[in-house]
Amino acid sequence: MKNWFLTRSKAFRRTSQILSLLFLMAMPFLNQQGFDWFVGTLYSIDILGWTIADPAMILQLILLGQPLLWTLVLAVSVPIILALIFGRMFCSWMCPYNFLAELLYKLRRFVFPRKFNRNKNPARNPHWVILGSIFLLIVVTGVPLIVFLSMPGLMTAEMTDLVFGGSLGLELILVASVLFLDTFLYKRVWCKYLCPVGLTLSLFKTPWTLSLISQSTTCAYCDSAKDHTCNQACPLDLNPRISKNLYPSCYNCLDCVNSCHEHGGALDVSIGWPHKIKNTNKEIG
Amino acid sequence: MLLKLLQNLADIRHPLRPPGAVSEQEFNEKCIRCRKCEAVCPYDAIQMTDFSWSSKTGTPIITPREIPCYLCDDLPCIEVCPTEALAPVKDRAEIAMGIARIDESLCFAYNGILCRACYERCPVYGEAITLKEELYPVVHEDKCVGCGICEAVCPVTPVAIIVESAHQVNS
Repeated sequence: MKNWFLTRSKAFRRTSQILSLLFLMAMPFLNQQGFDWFVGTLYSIDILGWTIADPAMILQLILLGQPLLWTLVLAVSVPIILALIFGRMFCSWMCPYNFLAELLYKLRRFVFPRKFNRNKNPARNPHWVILGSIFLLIVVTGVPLIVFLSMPGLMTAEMTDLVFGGSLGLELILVASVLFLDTFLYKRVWCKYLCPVGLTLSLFKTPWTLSLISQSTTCAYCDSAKDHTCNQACPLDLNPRISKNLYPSCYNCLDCVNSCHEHGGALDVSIGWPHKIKNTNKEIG
Repeated sequence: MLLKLLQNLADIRHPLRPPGAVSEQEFNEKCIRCRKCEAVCPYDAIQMTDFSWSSKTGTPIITPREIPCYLCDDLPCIEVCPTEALAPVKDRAEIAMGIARIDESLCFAYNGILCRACYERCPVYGEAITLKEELYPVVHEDKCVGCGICEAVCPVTPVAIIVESAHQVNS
């Protein structure tokens, strides 16, 4: 079952991303026709009457001094439970911003072919300092910054405003500049280090959460004159064979595991009881 | 201190919010910009503020001169709000979005032209707007809910009756 899924995961992921994007784009039009099974944006969305809210937005609401209503606890429970089980799979499987950034990055690689053997995990993880600074800034200034830093939120909100208000806002300049930064200046820096939505989901990662494991003994070191197939598959230019500092940058898209299955299958996923013994690949590769 | 001052300067304008809106500062903290009120409003009266509203960008605003709030029986905007930035109200009379103000120098009735547009169309009929001496419209602030229908139907340009946010009036 696991292998059946993992050998097809990339096709499933692309399907999920495309359906998610089409769904979010069609939703305001359907709402306009009076169809209200799905209402909202990626800040908060109602699905068949069940409210789901972005945990980062609700954390911001609490930090701004507003009480946590029990309806909001219910609203963040679904994303939090999903993050506890699957990690940041929202980012890689559903987020419309990441989909766009991935496509643009692919295009960039097509125009400027990348150098091989350059995939590296970060030397140290700045994630919590960044997330902490964002929330500290929110507390000090009282400005709800997450509103402007949530790319999926801005994109879906502008889509709704376009349908109901007939115009697009300047917020899209924010999205465009982050996209530019992500594609040309610092490769995928937004999704890897900066996005507060993804970082907040990372807060719920436990040893039992779905994560990558690699076994150095079965790694075929495929095509190592050029690059490992897993490295080539990674949309964030990480090195999935090295567990050190892979998380929280990695958003569990599983493309590396998918590509590895044809080359010995040294990469696998661990979910549930942690596979401490298997996860031994620490040497520089 | 300085930050607070800057913030107050930035937030000095009070847009007319949908029914049930809590006080302006609380609203800005509670509203998570999810656009659901915009999506469910059957009259498209609820629009979103643009980037010129700085930190209030993407929050709901009603511009009565374009489309006023028609005070739906079930108030879907309040029902759909996930954070109670639009807090539930018991009945329509309890809504206090704004207060209408008449500019007597512009109003037809005060200038010798017979006009009862605002009086006739007020949904809180005969209570929020009454006619003094059966000619001159007068707003009763305790009864006015601030829906803005009077502003929408006023035949004068520039408009002689304007609805201001209730929170602006109180602050």
